[in-house]
Amino acid sequence: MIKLQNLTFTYAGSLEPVLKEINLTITDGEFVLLSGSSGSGKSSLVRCLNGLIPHFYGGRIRGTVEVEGWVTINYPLAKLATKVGLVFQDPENQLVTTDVEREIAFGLENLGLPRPEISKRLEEALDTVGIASLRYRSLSELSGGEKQKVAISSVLALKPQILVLDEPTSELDPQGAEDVLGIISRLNDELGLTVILVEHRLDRVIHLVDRLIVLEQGKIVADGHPAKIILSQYEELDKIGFGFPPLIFLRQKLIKAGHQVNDLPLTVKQARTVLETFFRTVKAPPPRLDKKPSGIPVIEVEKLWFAYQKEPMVLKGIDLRLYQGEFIAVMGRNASGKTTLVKHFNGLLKPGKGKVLVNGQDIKKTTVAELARQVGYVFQNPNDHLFADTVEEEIAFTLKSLGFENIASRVNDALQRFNLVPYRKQYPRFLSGGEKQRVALASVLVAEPKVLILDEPTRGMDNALKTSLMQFLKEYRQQGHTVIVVTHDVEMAAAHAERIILLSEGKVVVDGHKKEVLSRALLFSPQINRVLQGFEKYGVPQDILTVEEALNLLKEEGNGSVDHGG
Amino acid sequence: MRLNFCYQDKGTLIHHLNPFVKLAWVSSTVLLALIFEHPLYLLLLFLVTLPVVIAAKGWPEWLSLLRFMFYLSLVIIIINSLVMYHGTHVLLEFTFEIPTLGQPKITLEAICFGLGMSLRLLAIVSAFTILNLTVHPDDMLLAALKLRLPYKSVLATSLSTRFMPALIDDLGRLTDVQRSRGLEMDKGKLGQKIRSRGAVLIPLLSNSLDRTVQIAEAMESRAFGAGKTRTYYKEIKLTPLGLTQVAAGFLPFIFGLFLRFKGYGGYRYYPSLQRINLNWLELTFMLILIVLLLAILPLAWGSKWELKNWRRG
Amino acid sequence: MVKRTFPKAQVRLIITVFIFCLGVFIYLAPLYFKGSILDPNTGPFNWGLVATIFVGLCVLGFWYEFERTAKGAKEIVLVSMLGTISALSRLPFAAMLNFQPCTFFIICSGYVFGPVAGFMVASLTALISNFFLGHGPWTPYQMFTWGLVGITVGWLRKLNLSPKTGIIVLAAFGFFWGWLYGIIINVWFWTSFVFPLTLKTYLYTLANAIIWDATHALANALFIIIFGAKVINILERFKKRFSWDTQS
Repeated sequence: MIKLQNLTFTYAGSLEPVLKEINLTITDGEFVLLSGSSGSGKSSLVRCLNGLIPHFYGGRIRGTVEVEGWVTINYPLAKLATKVGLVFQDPENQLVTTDVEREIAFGLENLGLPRPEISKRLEEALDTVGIASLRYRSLSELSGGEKQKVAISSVLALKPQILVLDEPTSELDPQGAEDVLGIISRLNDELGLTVILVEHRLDRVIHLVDRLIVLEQGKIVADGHPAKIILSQYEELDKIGFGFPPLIFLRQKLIKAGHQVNDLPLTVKQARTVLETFFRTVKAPPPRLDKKPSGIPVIEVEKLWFAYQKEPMVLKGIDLRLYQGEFIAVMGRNASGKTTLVKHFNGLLKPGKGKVLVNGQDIKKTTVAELARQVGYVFQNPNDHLFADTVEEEIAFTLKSLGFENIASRVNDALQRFNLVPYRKQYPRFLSGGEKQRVALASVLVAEPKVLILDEPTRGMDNALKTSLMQFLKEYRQQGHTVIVVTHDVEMAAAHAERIILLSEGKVVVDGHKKEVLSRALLFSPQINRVLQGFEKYGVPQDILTVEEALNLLKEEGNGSVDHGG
Repeated sequence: MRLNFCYQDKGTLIHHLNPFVKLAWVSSTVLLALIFEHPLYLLLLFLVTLPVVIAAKGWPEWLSLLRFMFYLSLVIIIINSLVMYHGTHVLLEFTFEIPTLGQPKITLEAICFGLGMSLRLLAIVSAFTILNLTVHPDDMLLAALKLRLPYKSVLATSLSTRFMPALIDDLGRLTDVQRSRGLEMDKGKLGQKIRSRGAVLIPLLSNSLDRTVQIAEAMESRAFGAGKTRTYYKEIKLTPLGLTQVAAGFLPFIFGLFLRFKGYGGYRYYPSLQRINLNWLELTFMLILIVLLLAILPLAWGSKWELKNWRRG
Repeated sequence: MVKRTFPKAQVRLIITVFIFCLGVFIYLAPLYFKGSILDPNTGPFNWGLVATIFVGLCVLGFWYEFERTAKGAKEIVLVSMLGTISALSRLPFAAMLNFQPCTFFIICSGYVFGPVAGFMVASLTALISNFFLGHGPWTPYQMFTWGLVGITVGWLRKLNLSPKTGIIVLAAFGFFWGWLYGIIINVWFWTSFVFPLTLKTYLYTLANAIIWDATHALANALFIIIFGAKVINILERFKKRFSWDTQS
């Protein structure tokens, strides 16, 4: 059992507490989902549970944390590790050895267990997570998902009664995330482990958990069974930018429109049952094929082949034409060549065979620096962009490198455009996640490129940040500019992109309007589409991807109660 | 960007050999190279390393070291011939004064001494090549633990080898980021070049410090520093065969020490080169030394029956 | 804070001074033991071996010191990470002779985190980079010599210099160490391959590496002038954020 009483914590050197008067009791065997926007105190709360706060992080703590009868402040971290296991966000930054066996044995060695006991526990830990086949592998060969499984296994080897996971899937691709979440729910189900999971993407887990706790600004604002919270606190949570899964969003919209929806669907399967009555009578025309993309081509790719030195081909004969003003999502599994492809668009990579033209210019005959004025590239982690002492210098650096004039006034413009004026003199790395993202964007867009490439821009982002980023991209496009995102985020692509390029094994598998590409696919379909796939038999069009489209469908169909819901 | 360990798993029997045996053998060879002065003995030591390098399939790597060794040998010869005037056979004499050097004369003896020392260098570098090519850094660290070297330092080293690939990835990515922002690494004067590299190294440092916190957290969350005694799941086990092999690895050194004690292996270069009189006894001794040194090959073959058995856990 | 009892600190100081004297003694021995049994040129001792063993023992000594003072994972991971960066930072500069920032990173680390951490970062730099470049008898020498840079710069910190003068002093210090590094590191080459071991032959050995050492000295000074303040700031920020002493 976990018992938090009046817990207030302030990090050393900070004035504002991150956690304020938290009272919480979690009983054994519960599966708790902990959610909230970034900066709400989730990570700090999680670190209180295994004693990292206050033993590792200095600061002021009031109130008590009691875990399985131990008050954490009285026990060293090493002891607490056998009660509470903590798995972190980035698999890369929590593995400390070079191979799987040693990684799992690490904690056991620290405890000073005799070798036979280590062997036994190692065996168990491998089997529990189902990674016995990885046993002799070196960690550097493993995929992100596999690494995260090893991390879970290495924590379980210490036989904790409580497993805490701090956004364990945010660095993983959808498949890896799915696997890891599957394991977590099985651990709770079959072994009765108490699980506390911090996660942004509610649609993946909300149906699995017993309890949802929402934190906002260091306080618990909601606590209870997910269904109960949604029924009673939807409006309130929606206001603070809490990202509900599309299904729940749709249900809420239907209710708002005056429909009677009694049940709360949490999974696609449930939604098909609950929503069937609404879509049974929809008679919409079959999907119209949108016109082929056309216009002024900005990037042309002709028979592009590419391989990193002496390695197998990554891109195998790609032909593409990207037009001005398009919003393109490049999707595909890990290692399908997405990033390799877009790195050709600003010349970071040069074609092995074939041609890439940017605004008609062959990238082989120009430099990355010259292309930087035409094509901006924002990398996944905004931290990678930041190295200057102040926000101002960070933005000016790009201009200096590119030899711009009027640097001061351009920097001022950019600061204004990105709402960064108050931070101009601050150290960029100490800003919040959203602010950093804006600095990174500003540092690229200050050169006013006509094309913007973003690599996994929404990975690990909370809902509010996502919304503001997308709003910005919308504005950028309205100036006639092109946006290319490399992403795994199907919902984002469905809502904001127009054209989807799906890569597999270095080839373009599908290239077309999102309505063609994202509908009726399995892994690459958004939640709403997967629900409506079940209603094909009623003539429901199969190219519906988002909540808005689904609602429109009901309107078009002339169902008065939707239009004039009362 | 890619950076590889010297070590490459080529799966030869030398690779499979217990690292302690290799350590013993290499130290034997290096120590002998340092205590012998006789060019024949040094040549012998050098030549003996070659079949082992070949058996470990390290020939291409060894060849790539040749340039470096050649350069160092040249330096050895030049320095020695410039500073040593005790030789009697003058090959070249400067007739004018060179500041601080005086009037150097280059003698045959000094050049020969330089050649002898080059052989010493070749033997040492070549012996170390075997260690570098066939012992994985992880196993090197296991050996360090077995030798009871301080754990925290060994851990820091092993963490480093673990971070290296991740940091190399970071470095490549950060370079891409800055290039995308228009930075050109090799443009401008020296100061400019240094600054451009800073644009990559500084975020690398900041990112790595963030990583430091996370990894330290993860370690402490897994009971790091729990008690006074830590156990080691994986360690190098010394089987009776292994112990015999280690002893055999040291044998050449002991025998060489005995020879040196008996007056063999020394050599007088100055004032004129000593004449080498080989008798049957000395030849036999040299032969025994060769056999003892080369014994590592059959020993490695012997480990065929307990492949990697020295690794426990 | 590490609480050291008073007499223990004194004992440690005495041991350090003793080792230092022993080092200097061994280092200079070839020059004044002419004709005696200790004469490296005629006596039975192989001076190269003696010096290497001494250097190895010094490294080991500092490793034990680290074993004693490093309290938790933080310290270990930090020195390891800084050592890795320092070892890695040779890469982007590979094309420029001995123009590399390793020594610069070691100086910054030692300056901010103290002598023991400085030594550890330094010894890891040598150890790790040689897993890639190749180990040899030079490894302990590199660990030791770079280690000395880390230790001495840690002492420099006690002068409490203002940031501005600090950088100038550090740059001069780095320049000086560029040369001193060459002076110490060449001992292994000199004692192993040159005969006779006299001051003159030693100076020749050094002269041979003069361009190498000059680049090293210049690189150190330039790096400190250009990036010193920045890197030290980053490290200081980290140190502060991570109040090393946890209080609750």
